[in-house]
Amino acid sequence: MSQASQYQEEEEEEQRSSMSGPMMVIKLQEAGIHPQDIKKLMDSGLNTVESVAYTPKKSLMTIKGISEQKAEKILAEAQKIIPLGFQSATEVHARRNELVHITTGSKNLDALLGGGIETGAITEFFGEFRTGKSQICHTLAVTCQLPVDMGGGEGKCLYIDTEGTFRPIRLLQVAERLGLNGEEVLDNVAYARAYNADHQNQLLTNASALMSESRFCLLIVDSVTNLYRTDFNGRGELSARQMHLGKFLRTLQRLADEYGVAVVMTNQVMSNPDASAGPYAGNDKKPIGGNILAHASTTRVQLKKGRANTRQAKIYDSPCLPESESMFAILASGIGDPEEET
Amino acid sequence: MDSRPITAIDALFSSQKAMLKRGNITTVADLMLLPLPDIMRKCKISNHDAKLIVDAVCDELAPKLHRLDDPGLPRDEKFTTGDALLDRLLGGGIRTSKLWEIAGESAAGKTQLAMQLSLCVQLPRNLGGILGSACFISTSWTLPTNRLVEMVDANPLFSPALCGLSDIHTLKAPSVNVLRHVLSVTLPGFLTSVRNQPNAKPVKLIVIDALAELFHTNTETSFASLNERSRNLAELATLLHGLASAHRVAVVVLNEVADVIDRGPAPDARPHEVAYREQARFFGRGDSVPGEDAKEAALGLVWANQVNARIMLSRTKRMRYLDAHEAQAVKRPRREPDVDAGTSRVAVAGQDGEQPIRLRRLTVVFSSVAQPGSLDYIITPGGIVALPEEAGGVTTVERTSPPRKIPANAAAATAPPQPDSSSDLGAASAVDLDGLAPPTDEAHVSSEGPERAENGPLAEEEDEWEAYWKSDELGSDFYSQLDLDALASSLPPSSERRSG
Repeated sequence: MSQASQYQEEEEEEQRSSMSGPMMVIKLQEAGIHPQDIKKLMDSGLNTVESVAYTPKKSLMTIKGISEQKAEKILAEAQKIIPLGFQSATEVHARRNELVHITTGSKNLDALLGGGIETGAITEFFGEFRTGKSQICHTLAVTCQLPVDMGGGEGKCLYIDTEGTFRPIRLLQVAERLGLNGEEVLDNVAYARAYNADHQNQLLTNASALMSESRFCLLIVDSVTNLYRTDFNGRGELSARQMHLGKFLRTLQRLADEYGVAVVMTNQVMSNPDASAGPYAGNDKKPIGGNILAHASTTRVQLKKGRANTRQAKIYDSPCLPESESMFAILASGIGDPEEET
Repeated sequence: MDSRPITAIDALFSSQKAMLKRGNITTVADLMLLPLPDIMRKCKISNHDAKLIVDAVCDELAPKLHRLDDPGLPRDEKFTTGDALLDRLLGGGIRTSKLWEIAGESAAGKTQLAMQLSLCVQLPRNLGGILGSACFISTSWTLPTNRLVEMVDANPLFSPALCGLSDIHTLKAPSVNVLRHVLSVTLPGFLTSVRNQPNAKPVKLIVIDALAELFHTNTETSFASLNERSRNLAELATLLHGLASAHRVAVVVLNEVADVIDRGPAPDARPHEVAYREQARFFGRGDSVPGEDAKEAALGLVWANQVNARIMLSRTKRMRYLDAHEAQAVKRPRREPDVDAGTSRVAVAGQDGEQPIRLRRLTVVFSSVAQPGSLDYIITPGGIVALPEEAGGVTTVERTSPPRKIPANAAAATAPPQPDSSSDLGAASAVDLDGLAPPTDEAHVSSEGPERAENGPLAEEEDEWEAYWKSDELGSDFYSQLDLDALASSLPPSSERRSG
């Protein structure tokens, strides 16, 4: 994509977003909120009016320098700006049809997901090691930069890595296959390594700030539960872990809502301890993260190993896709279809 | 409290109104909240006068008693869930003016059922609907409208002329505060405005998907945060009940589940004291098949006390191939797949009959309009379809949890023998013992079913099991005909297999 056309698109994007896109928190200034307070809101990760309106008063008051009266006033103004009325499902459906789906690189997998990764929702991939979770993430980080008519989202990608498996070289290989300029591709991926669960949560605050500055269309968390597995041990800390995870996931959902980005997260599995040994028990692996994670993801996809470089994907939970399976392959140039190999 | 001005009460004489005005009593609330002596003192009137005034006002305000068969009385309506068996289990369908809860784990089909209901409510009365519309309040994701469209296409009950997206109103309420605002301000206004539009279907169903999600934000569980959660829940429930009875709508709230963790007896439990979590299993979880009681509905006792009926959905570990006629019933004309939805979805659609399909379980844990009960169901392109108990009951009930895909022939072998074949039953069983050791193992597991079913509420079911037991009795000459040598040669390997 040439620079000039990109700018042009960005301008159009600006115009469109001023109609329906996220409303920046600066707008509160028109409603008589002090710029100083607005800056405080932005510093704590609240960059859009929506995010302010949906934040409980209690949380606003924890921001330094915002008193109860101020919080009340800010909330009241924000809720005035955000229209809170019913829409008919026809309108929602019309807008849904315009939703961008980001291609995974594999036609089979796209078909399974109903066209690709849905923006504005959380998609979870889980499976054992070596099932292609991180490979999917790497490919998506590039394909999301494609123009919309090629199955991309025309936006940047934000990559939160907790396992230390991010390899820019893979991005270059995928970019080569898609005919994109490698350097530009790498420029458009914002990468952050998370070192503990609190840090992982904090990164989302930064993510919100980044997203309000330029157009992102994909947020990847690889993997969402890894740090929780090590930071919290045993049953004693289970409740604390789930609370922490729940908060993280809600923030993810909020970002997906506010900025219309697709959120892709990977998850590890555990063998099911309840399963007794038996002839059929071999392949029973459960995703970790418990009910909180299960309820939070919009679409859950289970990945399994296949022969050679093929992998199997199965819809595990989705509000609109049937439970079905398909095969994809891990190629030298990212995710593809098994047939492409030869 | 009633803040109508005293002057608007017709039953009072103008002299009496003047007396009250002198005492600075201007609204009905002022009058009703004051004790009699205070009224006498403030207005400087006699006991008799004050009493007359209060009696007159009470007469005017008291709601009239109605006989239940009074035709003028507004009535609760009920609408179908789209499935006759499910309707019967729920006591005729979903009733208005009630607060229904659908709880279940992720991917159990909560949202599916809720979406199906929001289409069913729009149907004309001869098809089981009540010509209403639905309000779908979601807390996190937007309404999956393409699934709704698919349901309308695939389910013969629905047709675009009768129900569609235009009569489903949706709104996003991502926090407790927003939801409270919506329920107390936005929704009542919206309900009234829809009712006053001449051609619009009145709102008859409110869905909240999913309530528990709003309460995930608290960082730590403490007495104070739980206290606040309870207060919020009670407040929301009061608003919902108010809406349900004032506007005669059915409210369906989706809820999440939490794992049940066996913590052993409480440390400070006194003898004979029944701990809360012991009691919670009777209102918090279903227990009709093994494994179903591993999850309980979230939000605790406060919320459980607010709902009129609790429906639990769960994914079971059972998979089953559909019979030919069931497959026919389930497989419905699918619309042409989208161009970008590619080839594999078509392939999937073609395989419906051949792939084992996951059975899910629906349990009515408690309900103010129906008995507790449960049934198996599956999710099809057209929505939720309940399976008749005869068909669902045959599948083996597994106590161990590995998901076993029961091969077709093994499933056939575990089926209870038909009563008419009882004459050569002995021979048939001998064949089983000789050749198919593992299936008899499964048959044994399935025979544990009846003990559990005894607690089941359905009397018919028990009769069925009695018939089953009768048919399962061995002929008197069974043991004499049994070929023990063949048996001995076949058993050791199979028992080794089981222990390994």
